[in-house]
Amino acid sequence: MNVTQIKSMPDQQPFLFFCVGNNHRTAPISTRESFYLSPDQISAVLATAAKRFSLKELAVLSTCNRCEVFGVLAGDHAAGQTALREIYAAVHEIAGNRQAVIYQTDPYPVYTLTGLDAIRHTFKVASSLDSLVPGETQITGQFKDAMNLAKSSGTFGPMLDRLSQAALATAKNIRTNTEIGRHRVSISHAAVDLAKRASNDLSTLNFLIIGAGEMARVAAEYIATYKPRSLVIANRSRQKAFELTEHLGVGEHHSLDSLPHLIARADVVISATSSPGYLVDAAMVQKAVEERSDKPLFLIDIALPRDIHPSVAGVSEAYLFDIDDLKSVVDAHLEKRKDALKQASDILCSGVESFAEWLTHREVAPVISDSARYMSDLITREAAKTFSKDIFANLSDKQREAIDGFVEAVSSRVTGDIAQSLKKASPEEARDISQALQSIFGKDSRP
Amino acid sequence: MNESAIFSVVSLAAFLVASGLLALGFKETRQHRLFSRLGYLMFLIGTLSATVLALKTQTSSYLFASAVCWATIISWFVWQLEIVGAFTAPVVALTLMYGIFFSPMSSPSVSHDMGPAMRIHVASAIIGQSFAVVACGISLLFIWLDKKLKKRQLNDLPQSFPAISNLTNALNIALWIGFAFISLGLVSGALYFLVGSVPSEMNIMPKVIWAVFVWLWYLSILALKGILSYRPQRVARLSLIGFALLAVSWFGLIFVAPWRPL
Repeated sequence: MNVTQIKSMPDQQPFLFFCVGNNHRTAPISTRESFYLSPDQISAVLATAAKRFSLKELAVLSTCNRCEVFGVLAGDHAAGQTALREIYAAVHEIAGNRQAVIYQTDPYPVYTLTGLDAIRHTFKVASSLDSLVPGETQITGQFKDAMNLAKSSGTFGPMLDRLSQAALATAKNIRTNTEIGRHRVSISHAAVDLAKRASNDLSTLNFLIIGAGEMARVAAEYIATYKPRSLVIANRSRQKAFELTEHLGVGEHHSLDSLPHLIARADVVISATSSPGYLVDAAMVQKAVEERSDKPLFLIDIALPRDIHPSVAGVSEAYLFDIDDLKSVVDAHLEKRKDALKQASDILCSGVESFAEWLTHREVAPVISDSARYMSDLITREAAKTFSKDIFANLSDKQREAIDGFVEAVSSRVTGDIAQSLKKASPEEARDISQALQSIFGKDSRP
Repeated sequence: MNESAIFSVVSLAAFLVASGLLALGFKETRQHRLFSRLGYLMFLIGTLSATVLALKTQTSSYLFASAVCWATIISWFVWQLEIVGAFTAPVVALTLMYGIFFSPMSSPSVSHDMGPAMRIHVASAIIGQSFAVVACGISLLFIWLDKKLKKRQLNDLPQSFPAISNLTNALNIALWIGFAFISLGLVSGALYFLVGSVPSEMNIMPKVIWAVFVWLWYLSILALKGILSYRPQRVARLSLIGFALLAVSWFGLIFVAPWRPL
């Protein structure tokens, strides 16, 4: 089944899922960079933003490929594009992200999703099918971190909990049952593969990795498998760089102070730090290039915010790439994983469908309970009225017990049948049954 | 139709088809691998035919064509630069066309009464020029790749396209081999000239001047690269100009000079 086939949801919901943001598909890296929020900024923003907009639940996911706000609106909350954009802009305003606030003019570079679209998108994000490198596992951890940040900020409630649990379960299901994550798939791997444009044989190259975090570690591990001529890790904390080289069993470690000298020695520079500003500029690269022979210098910046100033691209002997440029490398790999992607998409559809069903049944549960209570009251009242007549005055206790049992059985049978039919029904049918029950047994129609 | 005519037609047809197929295989499409493989096959068939033709006729255009083919094949095996064939195949086809339509087969370039100096001169000049052609093909690939990488148009690059370092290395080596053989050709030609066995009706001065000019050009490229550390981008551009000069010496002088080329 295709995920787009699941289209309908109960119209009258006491809440509404939403997602507003931008990602690698909708915004170039320069825009995404403006919207990037650090974990500290997110923690500082969540409670204030939720309070300002009376949001039931709120979470923010900010990675190198996206900055998205997930949340739950009250049923009566305005859920139009403008309202959701206001929430997004406010999150950045509260975070003191001035660069993002300047985007408040039209067209505001964000998409807005509500209801099933938002749910489907959340599932895609958590299972990495919406990632630049589908199948990469880092996003699952980042998604969990985003929910944990919401938890610690007090903006995480039962609905986001259920949604994230379902999305993560589907992500696990996809990873376990498809080949999508079996191969080396991540931005770091794509960056190393891009280095093959520098030399067909990576073992002849000198690599410099700036950073010692997760992405740098994955890149370094992958590079180490090629046994390069040299592998240097440079990091703000030299200790972390040392730990990474110890983990790899190869390579040198340096602090960022020696970057100009290290760049001159390298053939490929992969930068993956969480630095808020640029670490490498055109003057530094120009100087490095002048010290080198005629070998090309590749600089691959997989950090967001970027570590290498875009003006480096102007240095004639240097080739600069950023995350967006990795798309072509990724596309080549995707071609090989078409079947796995199709399989993953089917599992995702099934997960979204199950969640939509749960949501629908959750919506009709109060109606079932109301109608059961009403049926029970009605039958009991009518039975009491009938059996209080004189002709039943001489009934024995056993006969009365039998009649009470009969009344209860009829009541439970009727409510049980209604509940069963709702469970078996599709979301559309459940919605119709729910509406019919509400009109029959709703408070207004009660005698 | 005699055997030479059959081989010339077969080799010309093979290189024309190879040119088209290799050009189609350049662009990454669903069939590009098929086109490339068929192109290489046609290139090999053409090479074998051209070689037989060159050995049978001993004419300079066929010798040059087959030398370019073998230099290309060497670049396939040594530097994995199969894609150079996309450039050299049309050059070979043009040379064969020239050989078929303008250079009579009845008058071989390498006659049996030639001395060793002349034989060395012809062989080394042809080998040197064929590597200059390969260097030009590599230069074109380098310039194109450099432009695509600079503009980050990675989608336009076929997966099998050689890496930029490999092209740089191959260009350097091809230039050195070409230069070495052209130098040897000049020296052996000078010896032949000094011995005085050049027929009096042959005015070889325009060719000598042009050949020295081409040699000086390649010497300049290598000197600028070695001494002034000229970047590969500049070396590639200079190499293209070198090929243009070579082409003028090969084709241009033939048409303007009253003598048949050696």
